[in-house]
Amino acid sequence: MVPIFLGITVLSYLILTLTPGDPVQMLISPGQSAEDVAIKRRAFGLDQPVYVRYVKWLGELARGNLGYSFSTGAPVTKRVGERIVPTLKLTGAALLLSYLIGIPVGVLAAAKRYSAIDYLATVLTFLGISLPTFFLGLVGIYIFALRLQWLPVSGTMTLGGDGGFLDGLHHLVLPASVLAVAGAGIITRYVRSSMLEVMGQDYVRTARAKGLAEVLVMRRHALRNALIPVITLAGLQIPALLAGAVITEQVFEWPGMGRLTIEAINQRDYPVLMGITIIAAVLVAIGNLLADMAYAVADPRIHYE
Amino acid sequence: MKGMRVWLAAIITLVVAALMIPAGAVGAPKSSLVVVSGMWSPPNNFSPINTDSSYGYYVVRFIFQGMMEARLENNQMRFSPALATRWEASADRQTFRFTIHPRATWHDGRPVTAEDVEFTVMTISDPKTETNRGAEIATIAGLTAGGKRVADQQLGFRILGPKSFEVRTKVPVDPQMFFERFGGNVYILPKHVLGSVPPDQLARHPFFQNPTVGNGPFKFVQYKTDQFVELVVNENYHNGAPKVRRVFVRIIPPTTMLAQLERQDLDLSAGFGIGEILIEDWDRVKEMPHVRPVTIRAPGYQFMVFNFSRPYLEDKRVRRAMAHAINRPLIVNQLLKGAGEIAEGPIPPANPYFNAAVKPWAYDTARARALLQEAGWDFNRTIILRVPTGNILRERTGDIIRENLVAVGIKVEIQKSDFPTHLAALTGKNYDIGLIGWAGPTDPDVSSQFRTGGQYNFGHHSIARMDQLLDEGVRLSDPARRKTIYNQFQELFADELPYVVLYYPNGRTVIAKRMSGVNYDIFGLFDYLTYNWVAGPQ
Repeated sequence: MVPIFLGITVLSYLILTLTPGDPVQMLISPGQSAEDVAIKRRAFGLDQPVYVRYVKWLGELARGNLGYSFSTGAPVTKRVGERIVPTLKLTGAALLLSYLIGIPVGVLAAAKRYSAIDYLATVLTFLGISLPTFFLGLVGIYIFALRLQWLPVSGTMTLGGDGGFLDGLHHLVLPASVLAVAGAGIITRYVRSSMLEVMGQDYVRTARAKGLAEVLVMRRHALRNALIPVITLAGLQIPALLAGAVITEQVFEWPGMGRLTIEAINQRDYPVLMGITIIAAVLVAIGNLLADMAYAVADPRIHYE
Repeated sequence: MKGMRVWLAAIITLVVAALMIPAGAVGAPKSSLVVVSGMWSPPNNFSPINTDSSYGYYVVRFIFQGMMEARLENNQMRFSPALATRWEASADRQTFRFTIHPRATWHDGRPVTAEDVEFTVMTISDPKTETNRGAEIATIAGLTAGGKRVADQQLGFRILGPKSFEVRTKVPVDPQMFFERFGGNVYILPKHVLGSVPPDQLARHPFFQNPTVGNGPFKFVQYKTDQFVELVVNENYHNGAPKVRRVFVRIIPPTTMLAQLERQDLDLSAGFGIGEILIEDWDRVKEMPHVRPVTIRAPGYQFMVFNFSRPYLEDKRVRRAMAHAINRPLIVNQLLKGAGEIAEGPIPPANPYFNAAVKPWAYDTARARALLQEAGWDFNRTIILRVPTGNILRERTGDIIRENLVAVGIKVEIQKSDFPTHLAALTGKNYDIGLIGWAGPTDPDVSSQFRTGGQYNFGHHSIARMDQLLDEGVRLSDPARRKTIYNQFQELFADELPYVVLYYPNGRTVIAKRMSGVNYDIFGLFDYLTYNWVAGPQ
């Protein structure tokens, strides 16, 4: 674990420094004096060679210090930390919504293969997968915020309000739904094909042969087995949960991790980018672990010792 | 399929529950006491000496002030009081006296004094302080060209009384320039709050994330990351308490600015370059009954720079040929829908120093071809046009330029990259021609861009006569004589063409009709004399 982690930090640090672009240049304003620019470069430690910077950064990391953002001057932990809750709210709600839609629709499509329902589901899922979130977001804003005036255009809370739970939920509905559409499409496809595969298995035929009601066959025998690849998918999505949703966050003024990442890339804010990388690396590891554990629950053939 | 029904019921309940929340709770509080301003991106921080030049300072100027505020009106610079009530230049244009308003106080009740101003100058000029204000104070005696203190030299700053001080410059300077830079662009720091912070730690001080002690017409309440900055009225503001009680500066992407306006959740866009209306939305904004569209003659421009380290671009006939080849009228009329101006130089048409006698090179493909032939251009050579991504108009301009140049026989390949990469390519001389924009101060000194070795000399050119004129322009303090020099500079510029200035785009901004007393400053931003803002009921 530790060597992999070290390897990740070395690689990402290298890639960052090899990326063209100068963090100091991104912060200077027209007419700023050359001396002021040099002071900034020194303060960021950019006058030193890469390996010195890396070793210093690693030393600070060992003491739990992720450094300070170049652009805002705030500690990286604060910049990243304040994004975690809004990001989880948005991506979590979207993920939940996409499973709530994707699993039943996928099962239904598989159970009634080549029926009108199946075709409709297929068309809708492809539409959901292929419509750009950006476009979907604007359409959603147009319909629900402008025409019907049911939902706010953007933001996470009412200006000047106290940001209560209901207010938060109200602001969450549109962005989470928009983000869930593509996810639901993918999950539907997964569940459908996985169900079809399982339904061709011997044990399903056996279950049917012994006279079990179709509902029970589906629920007890087919669905549970069909969910295994879906669980893998969910495990893979855990890092994405925190990575945020760049475009949705942009359209809906959502203060998430995706926007922070883009801002940090655009400004070449190395400390922030390294902070995000570290957190992402840890999350991928946790996500895989959780998925492995979930297999054992879903599939009795798998158990860990 | 009983299970299915449970799922469906759950989803429907969720959706309905979400929609049931009263729609009245949506959006900004709609009252004459609250104003919402919208800008595209979040501020870096709230440091009056170190935040980003556009978004950050827009917010900072509600909270912190300098001695006065500057605005161009009918080609004349006008100054209005901010912290100072009086400002005067000595006859020799080398000594400047300021008197701070007797009732000017910090938001915690302490008086704003000459000592605060001295502290601010000392902080900015400290070689350890991270700041971008050095150039604003660089004319003061005892400082380097970058505005840093020199060990054994006396600083040209003298406290005359608790509320008055005197600044002495190294040499006589143009008072307009001095007042714009020192008076208008240096925002005063609270000594009693920051006085004990070591200069090299100032940039990371939490105060600049949460600036609770300011001196401006509005007090900082909170910043909701990436969403909005909340400001509340400073009842004790010395120029009279603002009539607007609360200001929200919202961060709104350009694509939803229109939707926010339509829902009346937005009262104004922040201004040139940081909060404008997209050109495709402009017609719809004009039709909205509750808002007033405002066009601003912008202080900034877009240009195409030539890499002078390429021998084949050294001949000025080649550069002029490209100026003739590019269809700038088409770009302005089609792309900008006519909302822009063409001028052959870096001094904006709206600037008092603009030389109207210098006319832009006409769109003339025959002339362009003739000049290329004359200069012996190699028509088999392919040159690289570098275009930064992010600004759609600029990217489209790049496509038009390529077409135009190809039409006169120059082979062009476009290379696009994100802005940091683009900038690195320009400073690294890794391009032939490149697109970029600029918006600078009103003072016509453009040495940093056009002097040999200048910090923003992206073309890496060195033109002796241009250096001479630029040095002369900085040295002179008499505005009339400066005007003559800068007229010559603009003639020379059009002849040498280190850049082809493509267009000066007008700013497209908007103000709710219920608001009055809103004006933009010299940079085209609506953060000018915010204490005069009045908002009616919605």
